[in-house]
This record gives sequence, structure tokens and C-alpha cells, in this order.
Amino acid sequence: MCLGTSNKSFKYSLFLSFVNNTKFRLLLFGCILAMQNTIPSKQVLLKTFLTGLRRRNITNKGMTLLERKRAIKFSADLAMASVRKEAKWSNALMADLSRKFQRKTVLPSKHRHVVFRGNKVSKHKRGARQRRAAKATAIAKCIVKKREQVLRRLVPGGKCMDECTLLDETLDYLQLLKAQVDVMRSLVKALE
Amino acid sequence: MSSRRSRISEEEINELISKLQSLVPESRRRGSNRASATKLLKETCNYIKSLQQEVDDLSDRLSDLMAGMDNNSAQADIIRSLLSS
Repeated sequence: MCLGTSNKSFKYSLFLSFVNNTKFRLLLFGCILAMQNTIPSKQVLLKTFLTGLRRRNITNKGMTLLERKRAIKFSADLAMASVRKEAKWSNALMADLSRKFQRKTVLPSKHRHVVFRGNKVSKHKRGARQRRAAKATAIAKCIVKKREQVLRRLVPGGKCMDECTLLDETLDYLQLLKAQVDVMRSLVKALE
Repeated sequence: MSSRRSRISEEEINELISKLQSLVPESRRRGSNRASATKLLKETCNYIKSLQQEVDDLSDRLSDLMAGMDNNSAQADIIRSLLSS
């Protein structure tokens, strides 16, 4: 079954993979062909996202549009946080998700045992701590307070971080957010 | 001593700023560090907001697409296979 122009060749390969009853990996491969600038975590992101959608029972016809949308968004946030378990924003996001939906089973075991430490300084030598403090002060001088507050609101867990951590976490969160948007865009494209 | 500490901070800050610049689109502005840092942060905040909004919109879109799957059998097959392996 030919689907036409070469632009849709990825759709064709995707379709073919189902017709031949192949495994999940071929599906992933098909989606990835559609993605530009693939970075390794996008494959994991897509897989985690789809697994989450499956768990939410997304094909249930009894779901309203809004319920399905919330389930999709939940899976998207969960996938993002799962790919980066060590980041503070990731733990904050996980805590937020579990509070929203009160389903303890969705959290992978690592996140369940992690305590969100907030602004605790690590137990390094005094010199490192002072350097960090000096760096935080220098950053605080550069940044307008208002902008910083907005950023704290946007990045999960941002309220409890010092300025230095905030910037690091912002960078990481931004990367994951971009990747998640790309994954979802490709999925929409594949299904349209 | 204090100047050495602040110099290290400056370097690290510049590194963070350049990393942020590479991620945020349309933020290749010239100018002094301070001015561009403020603008960069503004761009970053706006960019994060727009990305979060886009996730929201895409979730809506995906929800629509999956709702309409009864009408189109090829689509339905794809979605079902997607989510039932």
C-alpha cells in the first residue's frame, strides 16, 4: 500500500511495521526517522511516554476528551522526569505529579525513596562552600530579582534552590522540555 | 584572594550564560554581559512558558486524534498497535 510522496515515507515504514506485526523497536525507529537532531534520550523519552500512555489506558473509549488530555499531559511530564532522575526539577515534578493524581504506583522506586533536600549545602570543604556562595552572590547581582522569581515559578522545584542551582536546573529542564515537545510533535505528525 | 574567587565565578557564570544562549532561540544578542544576561533570562522565561504551553496544546491534539480513531481504521490500527504491545 503506497502512501504517495517521499515525504510520507516515514509514515509508510511506520504503517508497514504494524502490518507485519513487528515489535516496539521498529515503531520507535519509524518515529525517530521523523525527528530531527535525535539525541539518545529522545528514544528513551518516546518509549517512556508511550508506556505511560498505555498504563493510563488511553484507548479507553469511555474517557472524555479532557480526561484523555490530562492523562497524556501527565504521561508527558512523567516521561520527562523519568529520563533525568537525578535532577532537582525532576524530583520536584514527580512529587507534584503524585500529589495531583495520588497514584503511588506510578512512581518508579528510585523516586519514591528520594527526599527532596531543597537548599541543603553539600558536605564539602569550607572553601568549596564559600566559592559557591560567592558565585551565587555574583549571579544574584546580574539577575533582576523579578526575572529570577518568574524562573523559579516556571522550573519545578525552583522555589527552594539557590541561584546557582537554579541556572543549572533551568538548563537541564529546558533541554528535556525541548526533547519532549519534539517527541510529541513527531507523534502527532505520525498519527495525522 | 577575593578577586580570584570572583574571577572563577565570572568564568562559570559566562559558561552558564553561553549554554543558555545556545538552547534558547533568537538570543544571540551582543552587548555587555549584564545587559545580555537580563535579556537572556527574559527570553528563557518566555521560551519555557511557550514550551509548556505547547506541551498542553499537543496533549489536546493527541487527545483529539485518539478520539477520532473510530472513523479511520488505518489510524486506529496504528494507535492500537502503539499502545498494546
